[in-house]
Amino acid sequence: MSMRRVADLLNEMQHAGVIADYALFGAAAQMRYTEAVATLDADVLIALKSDEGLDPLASIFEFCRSRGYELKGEAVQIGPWPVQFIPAFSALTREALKQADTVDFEGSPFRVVQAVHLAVIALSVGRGKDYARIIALLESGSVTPDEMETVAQRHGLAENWKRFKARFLDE
Amino acid sequence: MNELRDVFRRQAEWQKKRVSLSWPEKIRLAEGAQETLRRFREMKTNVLSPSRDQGGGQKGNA
Repeated sequence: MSMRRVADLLNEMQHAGVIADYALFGAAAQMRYTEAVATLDADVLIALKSDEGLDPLASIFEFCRSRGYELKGEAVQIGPWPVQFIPAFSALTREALKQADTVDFEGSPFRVVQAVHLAVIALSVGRGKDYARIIALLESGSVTPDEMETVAQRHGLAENWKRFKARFLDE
Repeated sequence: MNELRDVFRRQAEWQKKRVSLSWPEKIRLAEGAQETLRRFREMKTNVLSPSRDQGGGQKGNA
C-alpha cells in the first residue's frame, strides 16, 4: 500500500504539471525483475518543466508538503519510503525516462525504468552494489548481454561494458 | 551425495518461487526488512564513530 502512495503522489504531481515525467529506478525498480532486495530508499528519475529556476526541486518539495509529506534531508518521506527525486542528468537517464514502462501497481499506474536501462545506469555508476544489480538482472533473464552492450555503446560506455564483461561474464 | 543434491534442488525451487512473486509482494518484503536494515546501519555508525574520534581505526562509508 505504501509504495502505491508513492505512485499516486507521482501521478498527481505529473497531472498537476509540477513534473513533466517520472520513473522509478534503483533497487525498488530492480525488484520488478529480480528477487526482493534490501533497500531503504525509493529513487525516482524526473523530467522537470523547462521553466524551473535555480532550485529545480523546490516546486516538488512544496507540492509534497502541501499534501502532508515531510522532507527528511534530501528525501520526501512517504510511508516507510524516503523518496529521492533525481532530475534526469544525462542522455542515458533521459532515454531511460522516455522509454520507461507504465505498469499496474495495486490498481495504480506506475512508471518504472526498463531492466536494460537499470543495468546500464548501474554500469555507469560502477560500485560493487551496482555490479551486483547488473548480475541479478542478467541472471533473471530480464535483460541480455547483447541488449546491454547496444545501450552501453550508444551512451559511450563501451569500455565500461568491456571491463564488466571480462571481469564477471567471460571465464 | 543424493541428500545434498536434494537440498540444492529444494533451494533452487525456493529461490525460483521468490523470483516469481509479484512486484508489489517483493516491495512488501523489502518494506518488512527496512526496520532491521535501519538498525544495522545505526549499529555500524555507532561502532565506527568512537574509533574516528580517537584518531584511528576504520573510516565510515561515504
